[in-house]
Amino acid sequence: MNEIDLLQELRAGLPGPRAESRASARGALVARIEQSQQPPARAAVPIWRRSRLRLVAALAALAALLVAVPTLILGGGGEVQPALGQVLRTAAAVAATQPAEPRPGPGQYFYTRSREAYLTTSVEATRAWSVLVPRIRQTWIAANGTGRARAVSTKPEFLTAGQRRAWKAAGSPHLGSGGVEDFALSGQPFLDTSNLPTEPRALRKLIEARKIPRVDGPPGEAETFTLIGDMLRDTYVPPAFRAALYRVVAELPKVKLLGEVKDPIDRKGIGVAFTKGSVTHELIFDPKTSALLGEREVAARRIPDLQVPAGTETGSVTYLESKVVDSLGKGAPPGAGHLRQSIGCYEKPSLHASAAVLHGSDSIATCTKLWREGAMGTTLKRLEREGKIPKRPDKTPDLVACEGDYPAVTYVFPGNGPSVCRRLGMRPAADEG
Amino acid sequence: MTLDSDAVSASLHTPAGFATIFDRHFDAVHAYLQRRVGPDLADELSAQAFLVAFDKRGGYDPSQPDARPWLLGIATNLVRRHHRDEVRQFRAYARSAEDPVLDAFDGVEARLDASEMRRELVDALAQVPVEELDALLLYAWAELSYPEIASALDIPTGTVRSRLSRARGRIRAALDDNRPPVIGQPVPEEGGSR
Repeated sequence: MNEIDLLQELRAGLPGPRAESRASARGALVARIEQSQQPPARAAVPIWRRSRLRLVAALAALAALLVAVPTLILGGGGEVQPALGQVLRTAAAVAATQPAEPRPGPGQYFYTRSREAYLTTSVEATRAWSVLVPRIRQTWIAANGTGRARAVSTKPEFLTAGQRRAWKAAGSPHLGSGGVEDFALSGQPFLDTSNLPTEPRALRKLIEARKIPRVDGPPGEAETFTLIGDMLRDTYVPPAFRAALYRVVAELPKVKLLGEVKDPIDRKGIGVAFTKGSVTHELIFDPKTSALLGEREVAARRIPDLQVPAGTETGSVTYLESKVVDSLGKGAPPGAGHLRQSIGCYEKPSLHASAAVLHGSDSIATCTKLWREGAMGTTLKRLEREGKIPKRPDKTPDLVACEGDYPAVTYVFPGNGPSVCRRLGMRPAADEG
Repeated sequence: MTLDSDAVSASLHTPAGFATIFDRHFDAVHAYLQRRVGPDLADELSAQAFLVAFDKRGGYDPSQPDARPWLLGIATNLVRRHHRDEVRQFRAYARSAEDPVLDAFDGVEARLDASEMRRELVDALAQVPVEELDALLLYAWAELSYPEIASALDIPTGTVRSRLSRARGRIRAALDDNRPPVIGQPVPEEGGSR
């Protein structure tokens, strides 16, 4: 008998997982999946949006109800000072004259380092605790959007000592601090600002009409505020354009001007805030350079059932450093820095239809295979089954491949001919049109 | 049935599909963790492993049709944080002939294990460095092949071979120290089939 045989006898034949353990683990996964759901157009904007999802991160050890609240405090009481609009405009004008930082060239990356911390609130039976898990986040992003990110979590911080005790009493479940996490990034190229206006009114019109490629989303002022934030985070933006964005955001009707505030590491900046529901989101700019210094999310009011008082800061990001570098650095995950060709197979000729996304290059053949295997058209199949539409003899429709705003993605829709692409504001794919 | 790799890719845009991966592999991941650290910690770590897997599914290597090695690799990384507890349990077992992992089961009679050889085995396991132990237990308990272990631990196959070889050497040495050599017993071949 060799040592492997001996080893295989050791602890052999243990019973499988308890049904409740499996159910609890599955519940935690499903909760995480549900939190991650976002419309297809959103999936390519991972950095801040993914971070925001951590607000409601599920804790693995709990099958309990997991909730989190984002909150608000306005640094300095939230009073809007008179003539503040004028202060902002002057500051923006100064910022616009800053010398342009070099744009990363071929083989170079825009490097950023930031500190983020999000509050996770867990409720288990009668106990609840809220904990901030701070992370240092670094990103390396090339002009075409490929690159990498690394997040290193540091020591979790409980809101109060009482909440730490509640957590201990619940058996000290894992708090979601994952040590060092490396991701390959792919897909969000730098915004091409060469054809965009820096005159605030014209720029605001374009953003509000969702006319800028990849700066897209549902209508509404809250989304406009979010999109402006997205244009500024972890990406290269020339100072003059940044200054224009800063003026646009300050002049949105529902935006509150906070005047001089401090960012999470006590640097002075000028704050603007937007409240939607129970959350106020603050952006803090450096008035001299219009660079984004930091962001904060604060709860405007107490949410019933949760032991997080109104005014609690539930998330913050501090931008610590940005520069152009020549390499991806040490420890880049496999595939980082390479554009991965993706194919989106859509169930209907609409970007809002559900889609399967795969890596690969032969787009029509790949999606045809999915249709043939019955992985697509599940809505139609259900309607057929329910007798709401007549049975279709051939389940694989004609497919058409289109190109849109993301160079690495081919969009495949059911439909006939290149007009399908044009109707969706896209071009027929060059090789398969 | 779709391949795991396709299910993982599809879940990038239809995340709900990732539950398929859970349904296919949870029991295997749990069984492996349970054998290493007992049922309670296995409950926690296996749940966590699938959350980590879901979050990292974008990095899944689509050329790997079977997700099990990837999931076991994630589970191994999680269990590594508990290596000291694992060693403590091995030591306790070697000293007392009672396995804390078996003791943790309600209704499973804590068996007194009289086999001197088994106690020497767990004593030796307690001394195997964690990188070698991971490779060894993925091989012996999770029944992964060398290339699968390489993919799970993200190391070259040659490194798997040398880690396994060293781990097996250590255990053989520990067992041989305590008993006379048996003439004619074949020496297991490195990398051979079981």
